[in-house]
Amino acid sequence: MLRYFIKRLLFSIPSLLVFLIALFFLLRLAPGGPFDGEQVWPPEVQANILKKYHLDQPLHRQLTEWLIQLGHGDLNESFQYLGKPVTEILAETFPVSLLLGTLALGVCISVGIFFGGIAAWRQGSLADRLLLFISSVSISLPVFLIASVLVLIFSLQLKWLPPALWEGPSSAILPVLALSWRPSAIVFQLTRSTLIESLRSDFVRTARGKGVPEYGIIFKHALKNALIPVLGALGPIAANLVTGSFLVELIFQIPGMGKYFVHAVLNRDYPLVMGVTLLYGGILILTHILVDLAYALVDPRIRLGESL
Amino acid sequence: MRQIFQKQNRFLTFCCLALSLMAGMAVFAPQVTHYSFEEQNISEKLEPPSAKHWMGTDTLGRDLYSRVVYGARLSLLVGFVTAISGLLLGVSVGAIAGYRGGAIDLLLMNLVDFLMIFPSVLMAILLMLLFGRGPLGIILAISITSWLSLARQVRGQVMQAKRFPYVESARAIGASPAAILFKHILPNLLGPILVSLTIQIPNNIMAESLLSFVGLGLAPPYSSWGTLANEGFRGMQTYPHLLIFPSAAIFITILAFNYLGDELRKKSEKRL
Repeated sequence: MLRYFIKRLLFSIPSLLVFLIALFFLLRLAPGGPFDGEQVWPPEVQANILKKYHLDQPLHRQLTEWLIQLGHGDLNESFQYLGKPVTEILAETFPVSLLLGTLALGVCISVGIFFGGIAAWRQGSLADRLLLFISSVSISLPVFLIASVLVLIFSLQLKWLPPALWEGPSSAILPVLALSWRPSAIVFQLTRSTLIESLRSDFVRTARGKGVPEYGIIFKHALKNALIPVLGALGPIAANLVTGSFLVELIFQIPGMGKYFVHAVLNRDYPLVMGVTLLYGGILILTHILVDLAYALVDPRIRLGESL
Repeated sequence: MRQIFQKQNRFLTFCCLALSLMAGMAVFAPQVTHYSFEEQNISEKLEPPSAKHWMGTDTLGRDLYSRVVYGARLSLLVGFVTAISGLLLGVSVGAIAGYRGGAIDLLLMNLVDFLMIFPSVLMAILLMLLFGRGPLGIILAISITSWLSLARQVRGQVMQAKRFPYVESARAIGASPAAILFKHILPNLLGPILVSLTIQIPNNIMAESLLSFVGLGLAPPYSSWGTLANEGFRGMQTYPHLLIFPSAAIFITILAFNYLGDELRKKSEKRL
């Protein structure tokens, strides 16, 4: 298991590097530079700034320099937040995004599986149809609409929760809800449909024959098998929660990595864009491998390393 | 088709009606609006919905109904064009990888697997840098990020079809690989490919609105539902109509597409 894990990790490093190098050229080829803002500087000043950040050098030289520094664990200084190393920004903002993403993932797993179990248990009932309706509406709602409606109701009307910023646990509730809303509906629908399918299988009939109570059949016997496809969907969902939190972070003014990423892209802050993408890439690859491992743990029929 | 309508509820009819209405609005935008979408009228700014301005007016006194109708043009255009070009790209890559096999297959599928790790919105943001924030830029960025899963699906199906007798007999009579692929195999896969199109269109409309909402998508003078929602978001407490109408347009379109896609998928799965 551990050997497989390390092997996969090592194999993905070259692909990530190629991706980052492609991004490096993409950033430099893109129109607009980090220092052409609204104020026009005299050409000498402009030249000096470019020189300070080595932007006047040929591209391949800039790239080798970036790679060498990466080898030393240095990601340069941000252009936008002067004098601040990118590693420092990442160290400050990543825990926020990670916490937000993990909480949202927890909410979406528990809500999705719990209600999915109920809907499959009472298939065709009023509760089932109501849950199905709510979930299909939720999947079609854009995140910003969910977030704004939550803010309008819970902070502006009822004044229960803060409308923005990241101060204390109460300010995490609305962002986590907004972030997990759509994925919860996706997990719900998937759990419900796979559970209904596995309720028709032979081992469930056996369990019924033994006299296992219906909720025991659902939550002990059928759910275990139904969770395998759900687990497969959780990988992309987790990836989306960590990287896709930028909208929620922008709306709620949370100092997370996504917010910084968007500003870095808008302001052509090359080192910060590269740094965030590197970290995102690392997390995404890690999630991907972990999901594969979890798959093998849950389903003994899957053997690791065959597709490698 | 008729069978779906007979058996299935009125909701499906409603969805189709809503989609035709949206498409009609987009095509006949000049005919169904009374005001220009860009004409400013400061004396009538930020008015709530009324008989004169059905959806109210925005901060510059522009008629919101006209803006939503014209926004439909860009939002739907981006959704359709990106889904179709993503489809062409995905089908070609998948078909080539599945049919040729070997090193090409290995290379292409490794690329697809690697790129699939990155969520498409993240990739689209990075690509927007290169292509710029106009309609063409956003179409390119979303197209390039929406072909991966289809490529995987088509590759699998082509590999399966390669073993069928009809392909073998085509090869036996001396048909070229291109002819076998385009005349024999792909027409047989049309059903599932079209189903994936109805799933991709709402996804891409959503992606466009998210990008435009955070200011990484379309920039003025272009306005889509996403940019309108962004403008509305800033003043949502006092002027909720500015946020609600564009968001509702996005919501209804995506809901209708999703429902239609689900029904089509169920139908095609049943037939298999």
